[in-house]
Amino acid sequence: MQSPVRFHSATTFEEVVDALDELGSEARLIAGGTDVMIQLARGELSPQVLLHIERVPGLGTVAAGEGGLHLGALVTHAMVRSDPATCALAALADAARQVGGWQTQAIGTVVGNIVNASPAADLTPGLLVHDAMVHLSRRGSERTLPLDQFVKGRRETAREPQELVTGITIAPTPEHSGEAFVKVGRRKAMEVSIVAVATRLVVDPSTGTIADARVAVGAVSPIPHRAPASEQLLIGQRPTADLFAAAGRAALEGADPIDDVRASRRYRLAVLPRAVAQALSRSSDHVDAARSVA
Amino acid sequence: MSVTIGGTMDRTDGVAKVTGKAQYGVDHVEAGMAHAAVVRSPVPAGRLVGVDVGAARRMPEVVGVVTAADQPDSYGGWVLQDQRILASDQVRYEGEPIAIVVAETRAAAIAAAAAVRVEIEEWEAVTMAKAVAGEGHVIHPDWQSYVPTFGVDHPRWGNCACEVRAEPDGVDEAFARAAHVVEDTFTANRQYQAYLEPKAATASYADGRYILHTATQYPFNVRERVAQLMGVRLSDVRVVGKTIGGGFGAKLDGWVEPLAALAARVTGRTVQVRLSRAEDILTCPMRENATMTIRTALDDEGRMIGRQFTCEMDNGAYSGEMPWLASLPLTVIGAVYKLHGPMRAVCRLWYTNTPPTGAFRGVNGVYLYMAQEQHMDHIADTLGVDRREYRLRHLFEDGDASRTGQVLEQAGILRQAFDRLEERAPWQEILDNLGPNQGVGIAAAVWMTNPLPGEVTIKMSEDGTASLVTAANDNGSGAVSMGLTQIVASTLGLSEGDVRASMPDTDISGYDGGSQGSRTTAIVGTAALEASTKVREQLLATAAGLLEAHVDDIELVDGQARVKGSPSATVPLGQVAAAATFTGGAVTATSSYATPPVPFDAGCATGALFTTMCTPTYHVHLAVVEVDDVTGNVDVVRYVVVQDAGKVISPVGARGQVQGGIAQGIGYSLYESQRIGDDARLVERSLESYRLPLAVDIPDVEVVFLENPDPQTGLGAKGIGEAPIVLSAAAISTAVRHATGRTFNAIPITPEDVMFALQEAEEVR
Ligand SMILES: Cc1cc2nc3c(=O)[nH]c(=O)nc-3n(C[C@H](O)[C@H](O)[C@H](O)COP(=O)(O)OP(=O)(O)OC[C@H]3O[C@@H](n4cnc5c(N)ncnc54)[C@H](O)[C@@H]3O)c2cc1C
Repeated sequence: MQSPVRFHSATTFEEVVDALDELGSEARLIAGGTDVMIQLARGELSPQVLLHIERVPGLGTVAAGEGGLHLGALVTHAMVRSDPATCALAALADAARQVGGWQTQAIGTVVGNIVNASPAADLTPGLLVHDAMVHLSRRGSERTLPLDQFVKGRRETAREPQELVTGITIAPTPEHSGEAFVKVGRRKAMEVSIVAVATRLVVDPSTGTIADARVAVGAVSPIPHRAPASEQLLIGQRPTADLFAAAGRAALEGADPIDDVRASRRYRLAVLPRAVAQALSRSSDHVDAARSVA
Repeated sequence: MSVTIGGTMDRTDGVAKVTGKAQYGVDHVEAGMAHAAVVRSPVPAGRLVGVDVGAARRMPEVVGVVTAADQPDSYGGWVLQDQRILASDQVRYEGEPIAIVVAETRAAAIAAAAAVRVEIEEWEAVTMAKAVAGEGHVIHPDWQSYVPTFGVDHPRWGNCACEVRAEPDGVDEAFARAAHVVEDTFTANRQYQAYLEPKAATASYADGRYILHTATQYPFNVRERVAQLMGVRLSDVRVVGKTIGGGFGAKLDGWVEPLAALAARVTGRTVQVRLSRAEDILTCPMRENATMTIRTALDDEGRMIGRQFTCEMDNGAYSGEMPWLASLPLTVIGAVYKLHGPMRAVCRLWYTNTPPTGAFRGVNGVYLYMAQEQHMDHIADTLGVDRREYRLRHLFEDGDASRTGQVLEQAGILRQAFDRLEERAPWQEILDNLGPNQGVGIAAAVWMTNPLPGEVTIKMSEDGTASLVTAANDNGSGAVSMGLTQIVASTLGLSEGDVRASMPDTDISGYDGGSQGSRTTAIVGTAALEASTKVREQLLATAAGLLEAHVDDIELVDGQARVKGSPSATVPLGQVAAAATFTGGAVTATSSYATPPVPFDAGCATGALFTTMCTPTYHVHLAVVEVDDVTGNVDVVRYVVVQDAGKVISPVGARGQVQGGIAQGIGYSLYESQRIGDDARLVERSLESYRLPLAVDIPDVEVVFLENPDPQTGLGAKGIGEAPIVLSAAAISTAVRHATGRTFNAIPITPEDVMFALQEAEEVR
């Protein structure tokens, strides 16, 4: 029989980085535990210590600051969907609203979602659209990486075993922008995404053309990624249904989805362009709505 | 306040369930109890070469290891005795029990089970497609020696476990003179019962008897199965019920109980077998997968003048209840709508190297009505007639007969149901107001109430409360905790909390046909009404003496006997019961009831074991769906049920049964695919991949009850529980067909099916 895992609930930042420094990959950080506990139960993890960080002070806030909006490592999905600073960012808030069910959202963290690095991590596309930066700390040093360099593969990140992710910063949202998140799953909750799409459009009010376009897709390749072909097609154009459909088709470039019990590859490839087009159309509606309010 | 029929009352088991105090099968504990883990076949088919239990026996805390060599040389089975407890020389499905490891703890048993080494020479597995094509090995080489449990055998051979055949004259002639012929083919996947409590049973053996504590839906059936498989008399087995964490049909037969009994016998210990969710899914007797072809000849007036129907059903590796269900197509296909000519039908049940299939709420009615109603839409479209109009033109009326010759005296209720539906949801108005990507479906059915007998004993206590002793059990439906309790309390003028029902115990209560087929409130309720009426008469007689009044002048109200019209002349029922107990004897009565047999045409088919719908009920459903053209997901946005209930005893319970049945039906129609691979293994193997719909996926179902009392049952009640699911796939699939203009021949209709159909339609455009 395997030896039991020790559970340690840290109460200070120093305690966490010291323990990580000493134990390295023998310590497994646990925030909400919604990924960790399942992986433990499946026998996919066998750490010596579960290092619980939920009681570490200072990591649980959403704060506007230099360089954008900072989400601490203990910010949960429930906070993202309800915090005044994030609830209007549809690419994030609508994703947070659709992570599992209310229970998962109440304890699951955004940082846990990205560190777990599932191809279907729902917050990752929205964070990519917002140019998220990931902050890592270890005893005596810190570093910051763009999210697209942080996630390296399925369940693989640039994080060193001694590092704690302290939070994420998202860049300030430009004016005249609208964003959306579309999740494809069989049920209305409790689904691992079959396809997930986050988009953001900035429309120049003087010309009515798209000044900036962001399209990020999840669950169609080992790493959620931006879809540059779609983005290039959109920039400089007027938003129309045909354009969005074409951008949707362009998102197939770089998509290499799996065939599994949840959905066939063929289905994922069929749905992806439609989901991208729908997200773009909603983003465009949001720009219009923002303008008519202003 | 006295409880009334048709009034609301709290479930008697509600508080215990909500507070976690209810004792389910998995909660049962006995002094000296040991735990079992089952070693199962890792492959669907093969020759069992050897089982090495040496290492397992030496593991810590192991009490004993049981193999096929330890089991009696007897067979068992609900309809056909084709099962043993443990596989001996052949394995027939993935998950089939091969050995049982018993240890002091569950963890030790599981660890030791992993140390049992099983050697199997794997064979190519037989799926239903192969069985139908006549390919693959014969799964039961000894099939000819199997004994039918009820004495009557039915046509069967090789991998065909049952064949039902109706060959009336004139079918070919009807097709020869047809103006139109409409044909459809359908398939249906398996459906997992997916209750909250995985199966569990605890057995002990002492003084020549087996005692089982188990959350079974049908204690007397479990008693029979254990007795057959252990080769003992029925009375050598005692089955005591526990609170049931859901069953939906999967806990009607003995699956874990014989394992526990054998292990208890061999080890001399009390043994608990408790399945993990993964084991429960892998071995559950699910609703079977099936393929159907339905072909109808129409004359130039659009009347149906002849039909051919074939149905291939997957039996799995052992038969269980299934041979009965092979005849159900005869009572469904060709009922509800008039068929003015003969129907040829062939239904076959195939042994395959897959887990045995079995009963699930609504059994094969769910896919049979799906086929019949989609076919009706196809016919109406072919003729260019409105779908509802076509149905109304050909609807059964009082006295029309099904294909087994059963006369449906009250079939006119169908038209009443269409009328009530029209009031609630006017057809043309719905058609006119459908949004983009929306469609509407409509479907009608006749369904049944299981006729098996039940018995109730009522005992008045000296405190004025009543005990309700019965082996009828509440699988969660409220049939005992509301239905029967309500019947007894209202008859005796008792208040909520004054009637307590016992748990089933085959040593104590009379025979009961189990919680199946919507029978409990209607059938056992008839016995309950009769027994409590007898008790009432005894109370009235004693009270008449105490109150010095005439029996006819006494009423029972709010736990008191009182003289009508003189509210001060009362005596508490406790005092009445005590007076009776210490003079003439305790106040108690027992009654039993079984539905009288229904006449049918014995020559209608060969192999038919299940030929009539007892206490028939009539139903019309309407569903409005919306198809998401981005994902192919289908959302049920409105669902209306018009259901003939005979008499509603418990309105909350009745409504709950309809809402729950539709939820399960939406799951069946759109979400829950339990696929079987070409290797005969289940594709969906956990609740992560097997998609049960969630509360957010289910609309609030609109329910209209019709009350046309049944002439035979006590209060006129008819079965309620099963029927709601029976039409769900019919209503939903026809609505999806309407929304998309495409026929979906496979149930469930998955987002993938819809998406590919949408893509095809776009390419054509
Ligand atoms: C029922 C259920 C439904 C779910 N549905 C969804 C869904 O719809 N969409 C979706 O995307 N996910 C879903 N998930 C997965 C999970 O809820 C999310 O990924 C969640 O955001 C993880 O956060 P957590 O705090 O629970 O992470 P944990 O499980 O605590 O940790 C996840 C990983 O991140 C590491 N980690 C956590 N915090 C830090 C840190 N500060 N620094 C470094 N490493 C860290 C852990 O060591 C671990 O490897 C579901 C899970 C469950 C149980």
